[in-house]
Amino acid sequence: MTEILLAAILTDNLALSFFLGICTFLAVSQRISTALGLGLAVIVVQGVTVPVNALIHSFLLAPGALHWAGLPEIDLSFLRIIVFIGVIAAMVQLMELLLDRFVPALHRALGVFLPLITVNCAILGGSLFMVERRYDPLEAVVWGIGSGIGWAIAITAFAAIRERLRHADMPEGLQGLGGAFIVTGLMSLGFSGFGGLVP
Amino acid sequence: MTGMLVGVVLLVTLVLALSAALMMARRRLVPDLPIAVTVNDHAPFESRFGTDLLGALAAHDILLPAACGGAGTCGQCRVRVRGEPVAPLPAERARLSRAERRAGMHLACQLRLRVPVAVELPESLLGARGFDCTLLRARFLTPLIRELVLEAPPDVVALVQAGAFVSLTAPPHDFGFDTIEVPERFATDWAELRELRAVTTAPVTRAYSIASTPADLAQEHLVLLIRLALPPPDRPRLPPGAVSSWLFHVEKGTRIAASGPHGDFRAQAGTREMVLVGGGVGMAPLRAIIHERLGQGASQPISFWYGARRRDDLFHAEEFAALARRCPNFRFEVALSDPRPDEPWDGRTGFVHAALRDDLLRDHPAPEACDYYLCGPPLMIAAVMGVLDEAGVPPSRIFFDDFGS
Ligand SMILES: Cc1cc2nc3c(=O)[nH]c(=O)nc-3n(C[C@H](O)[C@H](O)[C@H](O)COP(=O)(O)OP(=O)(O)OC[C@H]3O[C@@H](n4cnc5c(N)ncnc54)[C@H](O)[C@@H]3O)c2cc1C
Ligand code: FES
Repeated sequence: MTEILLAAILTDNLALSFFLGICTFLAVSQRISTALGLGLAVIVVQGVTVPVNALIHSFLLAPGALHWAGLPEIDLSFLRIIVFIGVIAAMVQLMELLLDRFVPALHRALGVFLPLITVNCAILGGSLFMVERRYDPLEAVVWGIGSGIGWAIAITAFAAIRERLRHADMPEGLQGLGGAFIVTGLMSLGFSGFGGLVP
Repeated sequence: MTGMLVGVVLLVTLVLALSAALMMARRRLVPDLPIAVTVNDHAPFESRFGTDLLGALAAHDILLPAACGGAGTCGQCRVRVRGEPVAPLPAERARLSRAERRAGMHLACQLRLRVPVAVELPESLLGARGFDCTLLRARFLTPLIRELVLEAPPDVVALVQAGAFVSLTAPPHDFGFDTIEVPERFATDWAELRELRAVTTAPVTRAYSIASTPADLAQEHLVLLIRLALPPPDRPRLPPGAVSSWLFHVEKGTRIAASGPHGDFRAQAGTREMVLVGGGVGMAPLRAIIHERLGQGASQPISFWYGARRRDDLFHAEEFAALARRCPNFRFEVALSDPRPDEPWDGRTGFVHAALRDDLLRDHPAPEACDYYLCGPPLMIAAVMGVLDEAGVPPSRIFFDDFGS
């Protein structure tokens, strides 16, 4: 379990090891507070969708999953993507309702990037990795929350660096996204240092 | 076969279950509840949970000025919320100063009703209402400025004070600039504009200052000065301004949806010397204020400093010159910043803020004892603020109308 958690947060960091969810990563990292808010939203979405998708996968979709219904020969795993995306979409919409109701400032600050989590590859990636690596539902919970935390840490740290860099004397052509790409690369390099941590 | 069936059933059930869950969540989170809204000390009225305050007030016939139509960018729909402080949203942080936020100011278009609220508004705004007016006359004053004379209902006109503005709504439209009737003398200026097209698919609302003199108001005429908002020179492919284009296109007899009067740009009471500085269509509210004041027999010195680029951009100069001949306490000064060599001009050249500095402030015994009214392009306002600051005028004596352009 600890290994899965550490892997999810550090060695297999979705943003910095797999470069998933990079569009949002770059777009919503101007301010720490917004980045942190989005990070928390991703943790929640990831923490719910991965286990739910794990349950759906192991009891409905995987080859032989319908054993309990007396249909052991049916294999619905090809429906994986459409089902996962449906679950993610519903979750994100729920998240939108919740934020609009209870944290309107964050809801406004995230703007269109909140609904865009629906098609964020980090989120779908979380669920697909779970299938690929054959995590059981309990492990899926840990992986889901962990990968969310990893992504949140990455974007918050990135936003913190960008906030500092705003006052730095960067060459004109590198200001804004140019510098952001370089910082992302360096952070990724740093994270690769965790490589040997998890056997 | 069974596999396909099971798959379809499964997918449908799943989608239905997810939708049902969302609908239930929505019921809980966005309940259809009545919410009480109290304005000043009037009896509260009811609105629905989740409506924005601007819409709720409008439904109750309280029309706040809202040039951006609720996008949170014009900053005109400000209200003070009483009681429990509400955390400001990002749009509000951008539009309201820290002091205003501390005082509980909010943008009505950003505030969603979730709990009962009590707000404070200037009583003068409560009179504003929606009305229809009719275009009586229109004429070109300069190549890009058109004067409109609108006939408005008497009860609306009765509320108009000099300096106020109305909001006009342009219906969805689609026309080419080649259909705009332009007088012969401006044909050359318009040659390149003919290719432009104005297209909108939804009604758009914008604010326009009332330039009526007391005599105009007595006839229930709202006089407006409209400047055509062209695409910025560096980005000629952008569309021209939505509402101003339409107002250059409308013909006599057209009914125009409006609301107002709005705004708190006013001549201050008292007998302090008045210095008015304007440029372009910024003349509109200043013209109203000057005529109102002089018409009331004001005796303090009043001076009007007007900046234009060249002769062609100058309008109503004869009117103000005549006024200056008639009223010894009124002075009218024009500065042309970029006169054409071929046009006769023996007046002042240069920017109006320089004229103001050299010919009024420098030798004035007490610049800080005057009231200053500014209205014009942002760059001009900034330059004038600069010379006023140098002359030691405190900001509290400076009043300006920001056209937000
Ligand atoms: C209190 C007040 C009083 C006012 N009084 C007057 C008045 O007396 N007379 C007057 O003429 N105006 C006045 N204004 C300004 C007026 O309300 C409008 O802002 C102005 O007429 C432009 O509106 P529009 O709909 O024509 O242009 P808009 O459609 O708002 O466009 C504005 C400009 O943006 C450009 N543009 C269009 N699309 C884009 C894009 N995608 N990106 C970047 N730029 C774009 C347009 O070419 C145009 O130059 C006043 C404003 C206020 C707030
Ligand atoms: S309506 Fe423009 S800011 Fe609210």
